[in-house]
Amino acid sequence: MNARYSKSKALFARASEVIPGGIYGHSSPVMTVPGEFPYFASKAKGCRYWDVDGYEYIDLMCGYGPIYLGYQNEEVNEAAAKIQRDGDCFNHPTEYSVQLAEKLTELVDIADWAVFGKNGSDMTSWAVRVAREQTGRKRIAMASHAYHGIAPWCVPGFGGVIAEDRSTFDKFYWNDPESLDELMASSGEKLAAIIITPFHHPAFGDSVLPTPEFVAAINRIRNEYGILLIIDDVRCGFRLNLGGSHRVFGYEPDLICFSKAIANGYPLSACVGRSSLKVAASKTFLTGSFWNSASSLAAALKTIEIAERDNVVEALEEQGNRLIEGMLELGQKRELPLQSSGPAAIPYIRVADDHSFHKQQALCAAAAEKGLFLHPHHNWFLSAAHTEPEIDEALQRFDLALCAVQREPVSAL
Amino acid sequence: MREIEPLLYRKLKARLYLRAVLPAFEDLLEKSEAAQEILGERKFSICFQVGRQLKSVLFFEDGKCLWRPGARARDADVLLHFLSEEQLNKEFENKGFRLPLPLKGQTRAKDISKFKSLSRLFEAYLRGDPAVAEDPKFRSLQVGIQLGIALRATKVLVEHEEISGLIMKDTPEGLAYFSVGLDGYGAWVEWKGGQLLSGNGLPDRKSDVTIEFFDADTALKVVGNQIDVMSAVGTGAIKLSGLIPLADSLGYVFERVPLYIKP
Repeated sequence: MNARYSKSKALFARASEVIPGGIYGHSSPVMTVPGEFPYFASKAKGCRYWDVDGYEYIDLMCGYGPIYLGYQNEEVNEAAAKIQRDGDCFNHPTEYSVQLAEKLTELVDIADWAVFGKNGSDMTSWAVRVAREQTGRKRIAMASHAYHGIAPWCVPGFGGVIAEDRSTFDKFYWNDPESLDELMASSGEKLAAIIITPFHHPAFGDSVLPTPEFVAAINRIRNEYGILLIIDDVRCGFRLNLGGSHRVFGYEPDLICFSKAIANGYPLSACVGRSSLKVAASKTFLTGSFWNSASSLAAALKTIEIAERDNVVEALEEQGNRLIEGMLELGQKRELPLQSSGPAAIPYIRVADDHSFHKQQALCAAAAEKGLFLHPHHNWFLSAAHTEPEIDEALQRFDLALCAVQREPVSAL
Repeated sequence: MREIEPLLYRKLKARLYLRAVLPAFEDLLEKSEAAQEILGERKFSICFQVGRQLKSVLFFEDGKCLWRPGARARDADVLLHFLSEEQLNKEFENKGFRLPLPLKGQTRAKDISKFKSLSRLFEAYLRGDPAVAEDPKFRSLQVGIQLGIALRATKVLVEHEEISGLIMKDTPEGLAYFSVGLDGYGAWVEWKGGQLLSGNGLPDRKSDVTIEFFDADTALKVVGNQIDVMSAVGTGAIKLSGLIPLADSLGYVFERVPLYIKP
């Protein structure tokens, strides 16, 4: 373990005594470069955060997506604080839920109604049930290696999962209309829904945008077989298009799930749908102890307001492109060829021809040491707080990391 | 997914004893002087057979043991035939009535006696009996035998258990290297073309993922599914780098081995 992270290490040792895995889920050290990354955070502001050892990082993961305008955005925090002063978790919903539902139906072309939860998994699993209720069919199709949350039907891994949990789920391959056609031939009449992310963003792999042929095949199947299309926009939503990522690629969804960016770090998820599904949605029970919490809804309203006002989607694309071009150029200069995949606002840059990820892991560990937080195996996220000076500073730190892994003297900068 | 259909359970267990446990006699003879002493100059071969299809032959010669996966039963000097998988499993677990039919080699009492002595020593190392715990090589031998069994068992499960096959199905191809830091043990597993291959020592090319256990205790706990692996990776008790999805999938299959046998 890198001595730099001594407090992280000590805290992790304590955590391991009382928490299974020490840190579980996507934040687990196993997911990054164990021993060479910080494990625990202490504070954050804008596009930066500080770990428990006091080191500062320009953060290109944005809390794995939720930080959309930047950490501690004052306008959003004030909107949330205002309702918190009057109470937050009530017996009833507040007007904010109505306002946010109205706002989403205005923003998203296919949306005639909206419901709210706390996490992406709440919505993806509920959307699957709505599709079954609507169609009276059991089966659901999903892309191989796609991530849709932690419910038994989709959770990565096998712990606590039984065969029956997945027995009504079929897989097809991304960007492979033939595998879709094969699936339709065997199960088309039995499928209630196809659930997909707008583009394919598997962990430990490059992001893959959909081909026009694939999008056309998805839309054709939806119309031909009466299968509902669920877009899991949890990871991409509000970063590619405020009206939903389907508009970027041309999908014709029936249900869309949002979370992450929607409330700039406040816990919230949403599912929107077409009017034809409203009765089925009303029959598909959903609730949670904290789902009436008004502060997250107020935060979402303010987040969307700022996103519209400040043209955040365009800004993310512009700064994302600046980052990608800068990194690829630096890679060339330091003779470590890099490759980029995914949209500019959600990029994933990694060392080219590095099947084992050894070089990528070394590069990201070096970047962490130089104060730049990159994930070696997962797509990255930009926020509105990543403005031009921050991107340029990130590039400088990235160059230091490249020099470190290439063992070039810093004076060569 | 731990519910296993009883018939399948018995068959797989027998296959694991024959294809994962018995071959570990190679490691025993290679590393244990006590085992080499027991064998001495003796040369013989012994086959364990269930029905006509499932068999495993060990060749003892020059103080070594060699397991030949493709060897024929008739090549063995001693042929022990078990009427059922259950009978064979009981033999390996020292449970109940279990005497096999000696179809060949009934007169080779000395060889059978040698094998029994080696088996007792094998079991003593495996279970850490006080009788062998004083051996300075005990820990490395124990971990070598157990990890070797676990790696071979992983191959058997991937080939013959549906869930293990599914786990590996979409796993990226690559070479994994397992080592035990303080004890010098190393073994590799390669996943390629839907097949698992494994071997002792360093692989002949750079591995895609390395899994280094801090010490034998950590490795043994992993083999026995008795350690919080995620925590161990975080604290550095297990060092992991490279193609993590390969290690992950192998880990899931690894965890299934104790459902059948205790390596």
